[in-house]
Amino acid sequence: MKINLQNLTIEKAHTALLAGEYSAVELAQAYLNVIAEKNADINAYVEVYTDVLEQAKHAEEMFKNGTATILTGIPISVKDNMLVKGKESTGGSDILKGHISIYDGTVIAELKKAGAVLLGRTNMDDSAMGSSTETSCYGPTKNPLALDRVPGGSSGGPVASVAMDGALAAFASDTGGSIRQPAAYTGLVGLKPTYGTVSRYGLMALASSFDQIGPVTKNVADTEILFNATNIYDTMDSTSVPMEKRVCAKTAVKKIGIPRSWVNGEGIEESIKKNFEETCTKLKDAGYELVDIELPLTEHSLAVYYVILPAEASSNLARYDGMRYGLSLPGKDLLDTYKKTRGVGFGKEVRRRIMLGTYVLSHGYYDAYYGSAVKVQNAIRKELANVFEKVDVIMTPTAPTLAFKFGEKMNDPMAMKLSDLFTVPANVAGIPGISIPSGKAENNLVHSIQFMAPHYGENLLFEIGKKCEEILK
Amino acid sequence: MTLPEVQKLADLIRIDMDQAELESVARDMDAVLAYVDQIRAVAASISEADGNPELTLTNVMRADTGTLPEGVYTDAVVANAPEHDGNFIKVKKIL
Repeated sequence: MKINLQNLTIEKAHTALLAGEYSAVELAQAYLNVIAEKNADINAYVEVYTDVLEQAKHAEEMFKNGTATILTGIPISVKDNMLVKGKESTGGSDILKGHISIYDGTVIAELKKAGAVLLGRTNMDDSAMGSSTETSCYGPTKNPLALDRVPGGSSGGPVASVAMDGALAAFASDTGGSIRQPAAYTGLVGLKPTYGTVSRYGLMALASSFDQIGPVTKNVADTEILFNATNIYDTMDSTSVPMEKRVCAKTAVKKIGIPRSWVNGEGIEESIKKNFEETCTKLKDAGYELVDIELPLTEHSLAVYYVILPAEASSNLARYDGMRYGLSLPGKDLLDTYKKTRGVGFGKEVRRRIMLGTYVLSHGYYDAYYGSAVKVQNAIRKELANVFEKVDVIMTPTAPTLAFKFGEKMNDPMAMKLSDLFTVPANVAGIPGISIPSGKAENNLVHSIQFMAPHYGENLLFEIGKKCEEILK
Repeated sequence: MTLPEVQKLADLIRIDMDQAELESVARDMDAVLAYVDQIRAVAASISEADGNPELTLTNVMRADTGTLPEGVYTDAVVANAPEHDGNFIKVKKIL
């Protein structure tokens, strides 16, 4: 039978699997067929797992013996920086080519336990540093909505796998917008959960105080299902927050904060501003109270981010030395081996950021850069906490432009970095953010808006997100 | 940023860079540093109380002891190593 993958959701698939309309194997095969047809062109997957049908058969067993859950038999793709035991995982980087994961990350273990079907690993910017997936060692991924454009990044592969109907959902990571910005570029829903909710155990570390795993899906309900399935305390992640502390005082969205001067600032495309204003009008018509807010400190988040991120990355990426896994290029002595391996293994942007991070942490500059960044970060957290006393959620565009063309920003590192302008604050403050499609745009692209909520306020995001799906069609 | 400064950083981060890359890195570093420089003025305008790291993450420590049963991951770990000899990972001599 022909399964309509385009309109499929987790709930619909679960209902159909439960009713026996089609089997988990047939569903997995339908996705494998799409991947076989489209992936050579799109390059969403860098590896399709060879045991997909075996996993699907296991899911069928779970349906037969009554242990199936909502995720049993659901075909999901994973970003190439998440560890899946016995499979290669490289973080999109030559430096980890050939690295085989020796254990399952917590999210992967939960998905396996639930009987989800892991289709394969998906493309990403080298070491998750980038906003277009053009820096991947596997070459760029194309945007399924417009093949001459980037899918965003760093999670370009995960979003493209879902947008081309090559997976029902994906798991990815978001350090400064790497889930939300690509979801926006490909017309999908992307969630960066609250820091400390979804375990990062088994995720390759980029900037440990910002990194967060989250889902990419076709609608808000699916995102909610995947978040709830992975919102668990984990002793293997030392930053995992005990469940009893994951509390948000707010229960419903009434007031939406609009940082108008920020949204109308420089570098934001006119069509983005126009869609944002239209969205404001529709939300007002739907009964929400829109409140103008000022975020003078939060507007400096990107500068804070570009000090703290390289600082943490320079430390995290020190472990890639060619001794224990991945690429190793022999030199005349140990030092030479390190330098050759890291010089060739890391991509251009990664090499630059490691250098920047080392510089801002060095003696004489530490206080000026890192010290200042941490001070502003704390003040941003306080500013946002104060704003959330007055409003329930904050709304911005997800990105300042629509998906751009290949090569457009590769030689302008600052322009590339500015595409994370609106997504970075949620990582800097540790709060959750969700990107939601907000209407059709030119060139078959889709507009997107972002909502941010106080810590542990994911339910507020799901509530307003579902409302938006009704009124922004 | 001067070329000798960039060369020193490249040595510190253990990354080989040729002359052309060192020159382009120096330019890029200047551009990014000029951008992030705004935080110094912002930080100076923030009161101690507002910049207080009350919400900042603190390090979580554990005892420096093994946490996994011995031998379970040995084969997989060794198999990942570019060079190994039995259960030992081979590296170039350090001294």
